[in-house]
Amino acid sequence: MTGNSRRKNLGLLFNYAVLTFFAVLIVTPLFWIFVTSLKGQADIFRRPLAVFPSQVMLLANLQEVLRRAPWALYFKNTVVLVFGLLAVQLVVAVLAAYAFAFYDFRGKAVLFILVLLRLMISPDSVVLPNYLTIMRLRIMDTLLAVGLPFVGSAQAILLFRQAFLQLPRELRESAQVDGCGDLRFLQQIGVPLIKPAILTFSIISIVYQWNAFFWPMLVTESNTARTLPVGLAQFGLRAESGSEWGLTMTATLLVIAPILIAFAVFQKQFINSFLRSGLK
Amino acid sequence: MKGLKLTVLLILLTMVFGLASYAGAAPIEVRFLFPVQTAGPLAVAMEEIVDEFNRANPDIMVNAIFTGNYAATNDRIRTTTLAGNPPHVALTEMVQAIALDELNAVVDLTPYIEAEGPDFYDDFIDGFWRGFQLEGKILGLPFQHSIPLAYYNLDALAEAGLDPSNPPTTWDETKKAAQALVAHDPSRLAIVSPADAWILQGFVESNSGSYIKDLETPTFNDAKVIEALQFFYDMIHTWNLLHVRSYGEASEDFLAGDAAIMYNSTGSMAFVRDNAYFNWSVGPLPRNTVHSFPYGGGGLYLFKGHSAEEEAAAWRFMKYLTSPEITARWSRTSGYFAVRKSAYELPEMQAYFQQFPQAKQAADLLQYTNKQWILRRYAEASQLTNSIFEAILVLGEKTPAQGMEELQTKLSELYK
Repeated sequence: MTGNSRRKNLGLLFNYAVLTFFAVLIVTPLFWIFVTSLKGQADIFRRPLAVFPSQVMLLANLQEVLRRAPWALYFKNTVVLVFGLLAVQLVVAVLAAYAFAFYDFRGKAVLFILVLLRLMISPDSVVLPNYLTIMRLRIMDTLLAVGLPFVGSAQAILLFRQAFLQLPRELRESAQVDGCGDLRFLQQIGVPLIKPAILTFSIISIVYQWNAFFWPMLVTESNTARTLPVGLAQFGLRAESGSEWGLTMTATLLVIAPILIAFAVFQKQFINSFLRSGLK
Repeated sequence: MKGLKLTVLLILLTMVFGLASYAGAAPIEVRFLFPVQTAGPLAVAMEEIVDEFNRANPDIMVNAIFTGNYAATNDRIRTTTLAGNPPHVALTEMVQAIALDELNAVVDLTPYIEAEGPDFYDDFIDGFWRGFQLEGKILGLPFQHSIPLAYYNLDALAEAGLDPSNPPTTWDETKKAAQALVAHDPSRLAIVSPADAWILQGFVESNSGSYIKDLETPTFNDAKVIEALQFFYDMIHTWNLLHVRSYGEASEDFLAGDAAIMYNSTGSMAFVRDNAYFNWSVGPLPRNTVHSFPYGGGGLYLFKGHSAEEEAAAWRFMKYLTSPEITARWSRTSGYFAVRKSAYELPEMQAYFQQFPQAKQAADLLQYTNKQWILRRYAEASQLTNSIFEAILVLGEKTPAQGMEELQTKLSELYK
């Protein structure tokens, strides 16, 4: 009996060791961003490098960072872009995936191969054609232009189709027998059951769009449609002159804080939904 | 019925306002792309400069578009030009002149410059034109330029028993000074420097050598080129006196006091000025035979594909950006050189030199500068060159003689 519980304890210890290792791996850079954002240049160039600053410069750094870019506008644009786009992506992908999973129609195979092909094309290789499309649509310099190429996400379609296929066929058949239409089925049964897949894709999409730089930069000209990473680019990263690390890290903190806070707040919901993915 | 009336009214109103705004002489829009390549609030400073122009010129509306660094700006220029939607004016690297010309994207500025009279041309620092001149055309207007410099931590030199008022100026003196520095304090690096083709061009020219004969004839296997690389190679690998860093890392090591000497661009000067807590000075890269080094940097390009009216408005804006007052102001903000001779005589520039003698020291070196090396198909050529330089100087995989023979063979194939 005691041997068994000791083994159990050892196992637990091992689990904690592994978890601690990964937690340290993830938290260290964040911690370093935070302490660096507190430092002035004098502390950054002091040797030996101290972890904590001799003088807390966060307010001065913040003031300078705020002076260099219209952050409130960038923040608003980013939020509108990220969540607006996500909503559209989800609607498009759920409907497409549902059709691919439950319907047989002419050209289904061809269409599905097209979706797969879309996955194989690197987004960078279609920058020029996308740019031309945006230009011809005359929507240059708008948030619509920033989001449009990402509306039909092949990744989401595949992910959701896979999730739908794992649902028992009987579920939909019995719903149909009871007179439940496609949309109602999706709304009340289908979407709730593939929530883990939806959440997974949402996180991927949010993080990708939150960080995207080149495309948003390319199709925007004024600040009216620019996003947070453009603000970050003002800080001469990898500049020929050396970097203002204190300011750069303060700006970084500004950009990543909303995502970190959101994750901290919704953490329980995220994890619960993965655990409660139901029907296994 | 009510809904219909409202709709008609709305349409009418829209038409009236639309026409009104059309009838009022709309200012000519000029799209101007600019990157920021150094630390500091340069994007904000540029927007202020552009705002002042817009206020003083109500018939023109310059839209200043911040585009990241040089690389992102070049990507953007290429994409928008190929798509038929080029900017009016863009600030980018001087070495892009040849690529932009191959793309047939930029206007030959010769007629505009001639129309301004000879005083306009002559007031620009002579060397700065050369990088934009190609087969009788002038493809860009000099705007922000830099040269490679030697930066000295004078306190470190004094501590090691060297004369801070006489930093080393030759290869031999440099080697001896570096040895003295390391002997005095082994924990401090003697010299940090990037090891790319630009810095090395300074060493090659200081040895009376040259990378190229003309746009399609590289001469990397020339004995003088190899000799200069050999000196740099020995400083790194044989004598362990020089450590290779990126431009940014070199500045940071120098400012932290981790390195006594650094070779870096004038582009770092404002950053060093604002952050150094020790005494410092700048001087020429050390020479073997003569002082000579390239200048680099970026200029203003005028793009094709716009009406004559828009082109003229864009040219007025380019002239404003390179006016003595503005170029002097940009120089003080960024650390780059002012491009007009008369800018150096302005009282505010004289006062600046009083306050920061290092800026004057650097300006005095302009007499030694030469054009930055350039070849046709520059993107490929410079990538090839820098990768072989890296194999020799950073990784120590090849000797300078082997590497330069290989580079010469590969480049010659490009221009067959």
